[in-house]
Amino acid sequence: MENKERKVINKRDTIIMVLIIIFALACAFIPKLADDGGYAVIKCGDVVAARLELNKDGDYTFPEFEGMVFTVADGAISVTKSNCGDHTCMRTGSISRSGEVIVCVPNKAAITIESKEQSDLDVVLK
Amino acid sequence: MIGIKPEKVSAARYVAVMGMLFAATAALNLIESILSAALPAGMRVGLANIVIMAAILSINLPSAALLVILKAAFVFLTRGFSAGLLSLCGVTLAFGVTALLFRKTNATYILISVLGSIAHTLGQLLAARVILGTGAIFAYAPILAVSSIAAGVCTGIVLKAVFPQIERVLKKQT
Repeated sequence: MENKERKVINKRDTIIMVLIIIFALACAFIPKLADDGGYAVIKCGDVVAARLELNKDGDYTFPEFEGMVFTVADGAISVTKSNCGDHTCMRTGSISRSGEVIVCVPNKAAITIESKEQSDLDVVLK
Repeated sequence: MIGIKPEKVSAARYVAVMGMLFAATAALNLIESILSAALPAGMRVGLANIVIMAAILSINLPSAALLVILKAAFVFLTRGFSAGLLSLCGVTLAFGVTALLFRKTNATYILISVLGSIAHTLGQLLAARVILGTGAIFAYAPILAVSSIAAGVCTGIVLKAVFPQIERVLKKQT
């Protein structure tokens, strides 16, 4: 393909991009329709470090994540303290619905929300 | 460097242009740090792709590949291991996708930039998936796809304006 004939944009490619946007937005809004979760599952790698009930407020720390503080308040969980460089996990804010996640790549931490029905309890922290 | 440099271009001119392009990736990296603050999980939309694409178009594939390696090395040094790994995977995938599209299809500049940007975020998601050991991070894919499209439209327009100038500087006889 000669680049001299290449156009900046045309109708076909605009349609392709609009379809990608529609598809992405559809994927983005499906989790928002889900019910409130009930449990926050904190994983270190593929190992479940903890399951927290979202109706029990408090600050939690775990030996797997040194320097990180997880806060449960108003039925949502957030990372309120982290020793990682960019604090992306803290900027994500709080999550409460299934499908939402918080991740901290440097600390290998991933927080997901699960509903009560799905969760088979390993540990309940009180 | 021998073998990478196009034959028609003088060595001094080639080194100067490559240095300039690498400086541009470093500068874009800095700008992107500010722009990407709103994106989750340290993801980047890949503004520096613009330089890689310009190199594919105006110099050749090996030179663009060299810039890919340099860019990832720069991120390793400035932002640490996990950011470096994310950047390496993202920029390599973006390079592969854009190189293929430029060589094999008649897709427009903006579509190629958009798909390159999406490939960049996808590469980062895959790297993050490997580091984290969980697919949870793919929940970010939709928001990243939309921001990639916005970034890709911008880089596509700038690319079309910029790459002929790089080509002109390279080919100029002294």
